[in-house]
Amino acid sequence: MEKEIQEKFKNSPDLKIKKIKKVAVIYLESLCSSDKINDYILKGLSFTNIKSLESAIVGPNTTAIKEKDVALYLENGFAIVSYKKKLYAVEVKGELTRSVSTPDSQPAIYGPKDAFNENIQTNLGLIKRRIKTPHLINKDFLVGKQTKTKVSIVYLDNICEEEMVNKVADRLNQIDIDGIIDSSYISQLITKESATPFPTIMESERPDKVVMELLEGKLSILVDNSPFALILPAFFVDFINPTTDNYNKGININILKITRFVCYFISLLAPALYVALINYNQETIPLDLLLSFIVQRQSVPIPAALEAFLMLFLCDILRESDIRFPSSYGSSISILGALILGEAAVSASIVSPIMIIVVSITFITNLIFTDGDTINSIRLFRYLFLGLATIFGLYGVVIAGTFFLVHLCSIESFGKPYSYPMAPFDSSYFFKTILRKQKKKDTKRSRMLTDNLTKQRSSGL
Amino acid sequence: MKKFLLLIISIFLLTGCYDYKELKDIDVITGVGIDYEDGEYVVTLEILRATASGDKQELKTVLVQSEDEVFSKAFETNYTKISKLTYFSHLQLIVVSEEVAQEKGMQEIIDFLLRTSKIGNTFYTAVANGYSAYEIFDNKQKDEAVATYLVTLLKNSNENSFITVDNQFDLLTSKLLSKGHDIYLPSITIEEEDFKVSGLAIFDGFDMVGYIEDKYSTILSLATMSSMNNIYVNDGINAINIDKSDYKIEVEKDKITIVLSLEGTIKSLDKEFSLKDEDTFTWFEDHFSELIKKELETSIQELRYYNSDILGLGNKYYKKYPRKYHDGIGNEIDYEIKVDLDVNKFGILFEVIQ
Repeated sequence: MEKEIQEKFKNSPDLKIKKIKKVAVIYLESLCSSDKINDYILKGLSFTNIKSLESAIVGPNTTAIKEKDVALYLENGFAIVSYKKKLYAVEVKGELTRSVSTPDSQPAIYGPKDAFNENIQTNLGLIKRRIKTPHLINKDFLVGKQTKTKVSIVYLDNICEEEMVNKVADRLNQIDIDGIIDSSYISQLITKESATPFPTIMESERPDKVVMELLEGKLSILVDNSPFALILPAFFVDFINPTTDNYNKGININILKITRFVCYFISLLAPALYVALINYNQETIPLDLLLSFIVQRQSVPIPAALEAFLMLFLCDILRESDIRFPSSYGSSISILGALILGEAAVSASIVSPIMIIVVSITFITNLIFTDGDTINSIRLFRYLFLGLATIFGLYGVVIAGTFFLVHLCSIESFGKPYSYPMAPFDSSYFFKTILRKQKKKDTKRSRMLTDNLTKQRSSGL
Repeated sequence: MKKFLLLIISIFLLTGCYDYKELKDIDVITGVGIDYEDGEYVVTLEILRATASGDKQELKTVLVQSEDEVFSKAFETNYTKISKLTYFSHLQLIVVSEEVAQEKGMQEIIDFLLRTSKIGNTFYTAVANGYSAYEIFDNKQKDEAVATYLVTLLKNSNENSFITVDNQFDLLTSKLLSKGHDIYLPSITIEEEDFKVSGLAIFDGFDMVGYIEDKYSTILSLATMSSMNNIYVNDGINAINIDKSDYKIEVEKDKITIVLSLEGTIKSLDKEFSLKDEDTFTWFEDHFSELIKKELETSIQELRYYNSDILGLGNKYYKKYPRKYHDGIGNEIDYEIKVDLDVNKFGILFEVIQ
């Protein structure tokens, strides 16, 4: 037995085989904690009778395994205890992950401050700590020929549609790939990636958000070694308002929610509208404003459209450099960029001041959105809008707008219409995302996601 | 795929960039003046140019003038004198001199303005009273184009508010082209280098026939607009202010009845009156009803003298009895005026302060 394993792992010098009283303990040193091996196996073996081997191993996660699974368990941080023909796997995994920290990519002032980390067990634990019911199911899959990454579908079987679970499981089973490095691999592999620039799966590192969505009837996919849980299905509106809105009073948050939608469209349309108005439809600008525009544009030699493309391009560069460059170098880069773009470009008459305003508004409104794919899809459509506005004016903006809407309505997230809850309209989901009802009145789940509609009974207060 | 590509390319190459104008390349025209001298039309364009000197933005107006026997030629010769693209979408005002309106009539001008695609129809029109249109535009204002200044003046001259409200070009032409309706234009004059809105120029068809005074035009506004008015009526000592007015023109076969329902408040009164007394209000209502009725009658007589039907009585008649209608019926038919004045009792001092 030991020889076979030794043969299989001959290139892994960290394979250790320890023999005590005819019992072989086999493990991969790099994955295991020697303290645990000592406590769970070695101590027991040294002081008890080998005949009752099962009782000698005190490790909490111990299972009898078959010979063919040995390699798999070894690679997952188990120690194999072999005596005669019997094989036991004992979990002695070393702590290779960081501890639970605060969410960096989705910060919120209120609400829980814990975030997922790279350990799938910890992540599952963070969810299970919040949902204490046997209805919480997690189905495990091993994906990746080389990495054998653990992927887990988490859902509530009394709320989530079974069809959806089967569909996702099917797609996960179909994956044939060398390795899964991050949960985003999974999200790209189980959707038609090229069908749309819009994200059709949410990513979150907040366990509270995942739990909130699970309770609404969505399902989540956890991937080992990734701090981001996937939530699906996801609709257009899910990416605009963060779920942390639920921690504020409904009456207050609605204006903010509307503001975010306005910001989305400003970020999408501002440069295009500016170019269309200033080059084609000057009659729509009030006379006084037009005169001020004329004065500002007087000294700028490049056409407004080119100016817009140039500025957007420069700002994208600036933004990218800010993300890529290590923060330890300080913020000198962004200050330099802002200075060059803002002050110097205007005084050198390369761009007009109004263009700076338009581009700043575009980018500031864009900062509201944290999801990477949302930002990227806005950018893509912004260029489309701007391009058509450059060639056709307001008419072009309308063409692009029509395309945008038609596209939005034509895509699906796991068989559910992406434009839900606007088209088809559903008031229950509408008042969870676009606007918010009072918590007491928000008693129903949405029909699109589940048949189990009643969420809570309305309170008598 | 080939067809699709061809379609896309042709869209971009054939129709792309239609109507593209750089802001630097346009000259915003705010006003047009039309004169008639020595058998020729003289067309003045007021161009608004904004320049920046340092941080300060300066506005400068430039006048360009061309003349020709034919109006459209005179108008378009101006384009050859302007280096940039003429941009008429922000045209505010067209000023027509008295000679043009009276002698040549507005027909040729309106015809041209309706036909040309460069000019919209949201500008105002006025008559230059006693001055030429060029002189009006030459009377330059400090920070503003003359046209902009005049339009604000016309809109805000409260007493004559009814003059400008439906004076935009589109409404003007629709009125002019409908049966039994005559148009009126505000007239502008210069008094000690300041602009002043003077009487109302009234038309019979395309030709201007004369001016009527402010007092007539104010009272006539009661029979042309139902809206919040602010009209002051007095008999020397007592005065009321009409805050709200509504009118209805009832047409019968041989008679037209103008019914005014007005609401007003007392502005000043003789010290003999006491507002604690209910009779005072009745007196005011009766007295001023009669007064307004009389004034409206004189105004209509004045209009009939000029044969101008700016109240559109003929149009109302045409709508009800199209077969019996003939031109000029609005100025011939019998009419009756009924005034129903209601004096409000809110917020008043009971006694006259002595």
